[in-house]
Amino acid sequence: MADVAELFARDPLSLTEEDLTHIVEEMRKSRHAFNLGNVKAGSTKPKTEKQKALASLATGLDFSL
Amino acid sequence: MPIIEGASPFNEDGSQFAWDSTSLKLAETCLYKYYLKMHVGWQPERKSAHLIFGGIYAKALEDYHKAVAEGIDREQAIRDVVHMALCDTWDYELDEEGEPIPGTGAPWQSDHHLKTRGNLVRSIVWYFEQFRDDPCTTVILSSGKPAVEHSFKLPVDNGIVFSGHLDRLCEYSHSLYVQDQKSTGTTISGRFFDGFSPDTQMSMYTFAGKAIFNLPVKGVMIDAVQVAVGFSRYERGFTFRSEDQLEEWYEGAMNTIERAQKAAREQYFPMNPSSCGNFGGCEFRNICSRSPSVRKQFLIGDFVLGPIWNPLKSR
Repeated sequence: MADVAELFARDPLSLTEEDLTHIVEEMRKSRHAFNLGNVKAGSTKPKTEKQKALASLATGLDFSL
Repeated sequence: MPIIEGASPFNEDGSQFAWDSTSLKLAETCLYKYYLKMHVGWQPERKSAHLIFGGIYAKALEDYHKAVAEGIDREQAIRDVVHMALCDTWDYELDEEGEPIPGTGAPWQSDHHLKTRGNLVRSIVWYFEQFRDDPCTTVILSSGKPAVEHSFKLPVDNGIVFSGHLDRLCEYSHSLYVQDQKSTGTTISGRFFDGFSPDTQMSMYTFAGKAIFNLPVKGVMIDAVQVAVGFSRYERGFTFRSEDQLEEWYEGAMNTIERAQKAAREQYFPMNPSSCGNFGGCEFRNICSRSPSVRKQFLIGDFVLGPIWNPLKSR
């Protein structure tokens, strides 16, 4: 099953009942995760140049603990 | 005289006879703003993301309530309104009959960081989770039909018609309310709901709800959603209207309409400079701050002439 971002990028007229069920389920999961405190609300402030640089460094790292 | 769907809301002398809460609020706020929007049709080049988001959100919940009241399975109704929201936020190319052409277009790009497509669908789905066991029920009319999606045209005094659209009439804790949906990017507190009293939209909804359904509607139940970066949060509030309050509102509304009609007949729409700074500033402030002789050039630069808002056109 495609992820939600990919389904959102598709022509909605081509979405199947299964696709729509998947979107609804993923949205429900995100609410459940938010209610458990596993998802941060995030900030509406745009990132500073320093934060952007740090984020791009973190993206490039490839290791596991 | 019969009120024809989509007919002009103006009399032959140019004064407006059909009034919804949008046009009435404009006239209450500033007669010059009312003139620019209702009589000439100036509007921003790009429709506000707040209007697009709020309109689709409210329509989705309204369609859901209608479907469920008509016996459609809850999960199916949710999928259907999610699909509707996705389609309505996809900018299709249109065929000659104005129908979307499958396989064309792209997702709507919102110019607001919170009122986005993803947050819209999330807010719709989370609403149904939040109110999964909602004690509030849709009123079933004596005709057997659920009281949802009700566009009204209500003749009142002096040849005036009140018009609008009631999303839903519901029963909550043994009382009847018109239900309305609101979305905001800010935290919802008691002050948020205090902002709806006094308020012309809520008074007109209560007035119309009582008159149309002939039922003791107490006010408006407002389900508000705070749309944030990673979540949508809901609060339910109420705004009540007593008979005395409604009478007072009605007198005031008729007075406003009379002033607006007089302004139209005399072609003189005075500004209300005290309202220019309300709600983050009027969209025409940059225009009105110019000399009257150059205003039109600035209007042409910043706005477009669109179809004039028609209170007689049902949703």
